[in-house]
Amino acid sequence: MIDLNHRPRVRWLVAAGILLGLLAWFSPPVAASENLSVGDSVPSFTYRLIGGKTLTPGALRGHPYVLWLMATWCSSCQGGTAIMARHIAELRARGVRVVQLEVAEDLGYPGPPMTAFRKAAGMAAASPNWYWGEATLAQTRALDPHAYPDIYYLIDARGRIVDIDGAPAATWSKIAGFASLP
Amino acid sequence: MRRTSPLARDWRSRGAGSEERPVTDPKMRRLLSAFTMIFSRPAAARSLGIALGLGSLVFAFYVIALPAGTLGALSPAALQFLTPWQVLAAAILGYGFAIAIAMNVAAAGGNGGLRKGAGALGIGGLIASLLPSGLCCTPAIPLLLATLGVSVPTIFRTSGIFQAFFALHAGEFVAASIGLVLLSIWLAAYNLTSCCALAPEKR
Repeated sequence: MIDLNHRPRVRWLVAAGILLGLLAWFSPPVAASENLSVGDSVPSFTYRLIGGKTLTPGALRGHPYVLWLMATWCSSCQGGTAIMARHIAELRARGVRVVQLEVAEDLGYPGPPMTAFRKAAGMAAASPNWYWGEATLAQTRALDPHAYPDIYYLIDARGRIVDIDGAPAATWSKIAGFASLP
Repeated sequence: MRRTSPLARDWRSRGAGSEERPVTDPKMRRLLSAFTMIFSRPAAARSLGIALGLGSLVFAFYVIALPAGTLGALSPAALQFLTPWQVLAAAILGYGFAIAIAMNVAAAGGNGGLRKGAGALGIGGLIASLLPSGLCCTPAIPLLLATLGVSVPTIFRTSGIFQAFFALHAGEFVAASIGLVLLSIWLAAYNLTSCCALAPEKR
């Protein structure tokens, strides 16, 4: 019988697994990107929405909104979308919009199309304050310079970044707090 | 001399492959014997304590850790995404690992000694099941690639390949973990019954 403790490769693999796990769980939260940080103005991009429409900066001006970049294969994005669907009516009542964008080319691995992802969110996905689209490579690089698969910006009515984080399901209290701001 | 359970003595007297009582599979008989040995006197209280105490702790951890990937954080809030399959997997991982430890502890008291490989397999299984939730959608892989000096354009083109692998194969990782934990139980049972198959005069 093989004694795994006498096989250095296995020990190294186990050690590497532990290190990677710790790195994942204890890695600092998404605090600031290279180009954008809290207090900055968000770039004036025109976003390409699914269905062929576009969302211009003018349509967002004067409204607080959540700008969320995500990959469609990302499991925390599925959880975050479920939570967003649960609260989208509350956000709408408070005048908050949600712009949910698929990162360019899903960061190298083609996940399900955004239309399928939107469909999985159910009826709530059709809420008029919830915009679904796809970020171009230039937009992805500007808004997600570290290629995180799940990152969002909370942007106030003046177009300034109030907070940056990821995984809306885990950090919903931040979004709720942002929505309750006067 | 160390006291052994009636079943262990019975197992010794019959030996593997006995034809007195044709139990279908010798491997299965060996496994059943190991279970009976650890859950009968004198080791019953200690084994039950390990199986229930440690098993419940590991189970409680896994009912949070397995759906943590969907939440995006290791937090009790992940319970809202818990599925029945994940409860089953957490139970097998938690109580299976604890039973393997109980068997190893029982074997450590005999002359067979502790089979470290069984423990390593069990721990490896526990860790493997955490990889998808830890590496799929966190900044870990982009940070790791950046630390390794990979250029930004390459990170944009490749980080998704690694992360999506963990995201889309989370079920397979958990299944492999369950397999490793079950294998660790089998190794521990083999070790336990091997040690007790020796004749008393050889101890």
